[in-house]
Amino acid sequence: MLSLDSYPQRSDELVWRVIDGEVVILTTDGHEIHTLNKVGRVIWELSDGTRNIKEIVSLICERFDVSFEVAKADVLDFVKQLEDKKILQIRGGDGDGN
Amino acid sequence: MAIEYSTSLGEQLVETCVRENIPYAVQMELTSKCNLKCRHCFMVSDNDVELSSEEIMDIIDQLIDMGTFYLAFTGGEIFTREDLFDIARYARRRGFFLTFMTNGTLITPENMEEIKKLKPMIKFEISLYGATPRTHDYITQVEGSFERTVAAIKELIAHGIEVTIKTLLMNLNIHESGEIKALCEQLGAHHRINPGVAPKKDGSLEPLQYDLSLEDMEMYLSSHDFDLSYLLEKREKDPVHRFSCKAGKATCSIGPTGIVYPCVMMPIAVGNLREKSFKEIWHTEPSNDLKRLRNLTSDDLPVCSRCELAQYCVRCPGVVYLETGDIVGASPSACRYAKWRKYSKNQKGKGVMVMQSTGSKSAD
Repeated sequence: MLSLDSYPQRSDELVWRVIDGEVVILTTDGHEIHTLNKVGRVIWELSDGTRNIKEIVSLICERFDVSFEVAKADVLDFVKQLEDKKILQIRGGDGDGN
Repeated sequence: MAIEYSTSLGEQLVETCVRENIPYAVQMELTSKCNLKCRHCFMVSDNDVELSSEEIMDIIDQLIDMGTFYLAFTGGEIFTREDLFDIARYARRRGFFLTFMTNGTLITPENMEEIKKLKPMIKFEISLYGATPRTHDYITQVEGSFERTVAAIKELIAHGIEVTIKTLLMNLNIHESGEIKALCEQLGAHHRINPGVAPKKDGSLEPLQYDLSLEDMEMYLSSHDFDLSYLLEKREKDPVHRFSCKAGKATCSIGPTGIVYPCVMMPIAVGNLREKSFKEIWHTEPSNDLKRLRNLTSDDLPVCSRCELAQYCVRCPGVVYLETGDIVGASPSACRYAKWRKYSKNQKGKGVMVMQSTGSKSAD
């Protein structure tokens, strides 16, 4: 269960680079490509397994002048999408998301 | 706060890389040493000191910042390098799609274990020149090489590793082209045909004695379904760039001693990684040759741009440079293949196409 205590970490079974200011992720089948905008890029770059979602949300708030609640909802939604695609792995975080 | 998420931008990404000169695919020639002696090989031995493990790892780090996704290790024969897996493990850890281009003969049970650790980021491209030991070993000039190469292919596939068998078609093996294709299917490997023997990198035309004649193509290729017409269709839509390729823009090759080339088939040195960073060579201080290559359009090719065979032509700038030393001139081999495609199309009313060798090593 994804929560603020979860630690997202990029899968090591993909290749990602910053191309033209955007994150581009290629998965091992070489066909799926995902581009993330500026906010997505920051979340992606912060998802190195050393920070939990609460820390990531706080950093997003600092950088993008957005409230904690709004950022939290977006980050959780975003991380869930990438987890479903198996390009982010989640460690820990059995809490209720608060 | 909006978060965008999209998929399937492959073609757009490639266009971006070409436009912005991002080297998304790089071939590193780890060594010029090889345990085979292929008759057609275009490699030339280099006596300079080859890059050390540390130097290669430093280049790998630089390529991450440059935007490289695909890193192919080629040679020579890469398994002659004792530090191959130190380098490959490092690249795997740093995050690349890896391709090993090899003849497969030096793959042992021990290094198969190392190969498995590189999954799923590793693919193999293995050169096979015949469907029989007689033909393959005649070309490689090493007895037993066919058996060892085929055994390696079987072993890799058994371990779930994707293998593409590359066959350079020559007058030495074209009589087995159908059998080679069948063997690849039987082995469960992809198969890529590369007609078009290239001159040696030092300009020697010696390997061209093995190139296909029009009669060879007509006799053997017309009966097979080597339909690569999509290559031409794409070029038809973009006549200005019909004769250009990604070499020097979105792809490049790095030689065993750190020299950067636009392509493994195009021995025009554009910088030395022992003297400058990749970024300096590629972006901030590109050589005049590199700038010229990047700006070439069909209008710069005085003969090819007006040629009536243009619609049938898959001209490789690297091959024409090797053949004639003139990157904007006509390529004798491309002209020959274009004539055959036109003939074949007229004969059959359908496009039975053969690809000019473009950027793929003819002698791994």
